[in-house]
Amino acid sequence: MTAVLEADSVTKTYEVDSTVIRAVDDVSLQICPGEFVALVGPSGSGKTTMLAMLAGLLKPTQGSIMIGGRKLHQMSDEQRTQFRREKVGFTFQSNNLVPYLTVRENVELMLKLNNQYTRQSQEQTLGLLAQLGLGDRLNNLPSQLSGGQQQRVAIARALVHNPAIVLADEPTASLDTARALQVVQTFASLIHAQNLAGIMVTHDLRMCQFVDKIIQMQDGKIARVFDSEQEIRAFSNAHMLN
Amino acid sequence: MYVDTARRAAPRTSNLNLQIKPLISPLPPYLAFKEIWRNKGRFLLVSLVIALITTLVLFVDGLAEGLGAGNIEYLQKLNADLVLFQENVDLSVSASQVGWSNLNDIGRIQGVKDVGLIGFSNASIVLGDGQEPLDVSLIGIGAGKPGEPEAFAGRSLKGNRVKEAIIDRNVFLRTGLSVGDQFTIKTIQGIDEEFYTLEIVGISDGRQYFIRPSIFVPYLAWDEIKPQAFVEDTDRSELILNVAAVQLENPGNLDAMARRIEAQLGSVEAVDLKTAYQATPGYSAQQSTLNTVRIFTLLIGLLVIGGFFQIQTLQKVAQIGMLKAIGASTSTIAIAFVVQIVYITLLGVVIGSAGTLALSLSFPVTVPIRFTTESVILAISSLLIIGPMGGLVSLIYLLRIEPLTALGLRP
Repeated sequence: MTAVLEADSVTKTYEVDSTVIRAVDDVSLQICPGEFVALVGPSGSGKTTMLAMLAGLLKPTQGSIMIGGRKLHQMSDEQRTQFRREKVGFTFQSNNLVPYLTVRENVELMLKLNNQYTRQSQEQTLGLLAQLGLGDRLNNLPSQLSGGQQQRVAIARALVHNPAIVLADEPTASLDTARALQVVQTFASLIHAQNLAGIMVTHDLRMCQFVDKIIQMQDGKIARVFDSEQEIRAFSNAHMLN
Repeated sequence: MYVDTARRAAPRTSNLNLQIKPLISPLPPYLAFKEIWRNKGRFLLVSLVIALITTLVLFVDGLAEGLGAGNIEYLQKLNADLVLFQENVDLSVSASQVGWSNLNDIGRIQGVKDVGLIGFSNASIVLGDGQEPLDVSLIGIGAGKPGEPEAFAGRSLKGNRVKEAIIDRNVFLRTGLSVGDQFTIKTIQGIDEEFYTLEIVGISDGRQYFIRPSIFVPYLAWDEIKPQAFVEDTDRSELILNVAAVQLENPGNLDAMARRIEAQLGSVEAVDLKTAYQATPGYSAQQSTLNTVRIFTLLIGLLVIGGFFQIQTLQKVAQIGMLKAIGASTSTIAIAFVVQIVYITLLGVVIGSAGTLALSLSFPVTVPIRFTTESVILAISSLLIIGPMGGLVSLIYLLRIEPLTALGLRP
């Protein structure tokens, strides 16, 4: 299967007080459509920096990133903004939603940004929100929702405009275990159903039971990759016990 | 079972595959309006502060106009092109003396259409029923000559010796006197109070001078009535007034005519109306003081609006970072911000203007506040400009917010 995302020897260095820090060091990875990948590792391992580069928020110091056949590392700032708008779906750890827009308006914002706001797309938004169990919260503001509900709205917003890849940064950080498992399970099922490429950065290793591949990072490098069903199950079960 | 709804979310175009893209995206005004609507209390509070600033600016403006008009309205509206003062008196109306003998000399100068002498003094109108006398400017003019105001009610003066008067609108409003009424004027002659009775033959528009309403009387009546430090010798050789109002055949030729009159007459200074009224004692100082107050009020407005939006922007850094991260362009966010400032400023200015109008209707005629279309438009325009100006610092800050902040990273 052709990879939708290809990162080749990606490196990101920062200079702090004349000291060069290699936040991401020579990382290569490929993700195919329908594949949901977890990027795990301790704090400072480079996973969020890697995610930022895959999203076009940061330019790599070295290496190349191609998503859907487009060379992300060669794009201008404006082109990367347009790329994120059209091809990337995002959920964040916090401040996910626009606080003054309702659930429905938050999701429709992506359609409006992409000039896809039509009667048909509005109906599809309602369908997607119903699918995520938010059919009765359409006119609620984010402040009227629980953390889990807010994450589900963010998932709907990340998927509604039909992106090439979906990126999730610590989507379960502010949720209790039951809700966190529910959110990631829903996320995974939607990514599989839509045949998208999904990457989730997480500290919570229990969430890895729903992914197809686990990339473990350490000191900016890929330390280990778990891509067989058995390895993933073993990894998740070990952490479920914790 | 999940249905692939998002896949079907792509826009469906018509068979002709035509898409009309609006010139200005509706998204920024939409975001601006939604934020205001969902935070009505907070934004209304800022609008009310802007409304109060608007009221203050408009009142200071009205006061500047009103006091200015009270000081110089007569000269400002004078039906003349040039005003002639005695030389070397610093254009002081009260110090200037122009004699009756000059009248014919001025009239004979080529290019002069008509000329009238004007004398300025003061008097009190005696009112009945125990009311306080009304202090007025007593202005001596020639019947049918430059300097005589047009009467919108009644008629003009019939001659230079008659005991007739034209009163301005302010006398009419403050005394209730009207055309055909007789009234008594009190002045001080030497050390005695003297009383004169005049008949009102006309009412002019507002023509205040020296912060007093005005009455206009013929030259000779004025010379008789005006207060004097001592009773003058009646054998005096000629009638002395203060200035001459000159109408020109070609008003476009002011400077050349002023120089010609000065050269031919000697010992006079000819100036245009604006120079004449700006030389009125206290006028420039008063206007510059009020202008300073006006500028400081606008400056306060600028800081209030700037402060509010700066705090607002600081509170929204993560949210703006998130919007940029999901692909909102910097221009979309910047336009939404500017539109929001314009909405809030506009609302404040509308509330403030309406409140000022309502308040001003309740003021008695003695309050020297006056609103003119030009000054109100200028004040409102200044207020509408300070809104976006106040938000400029926040706008620059907002443009610099990196989308990386959405991930908690620093650029």
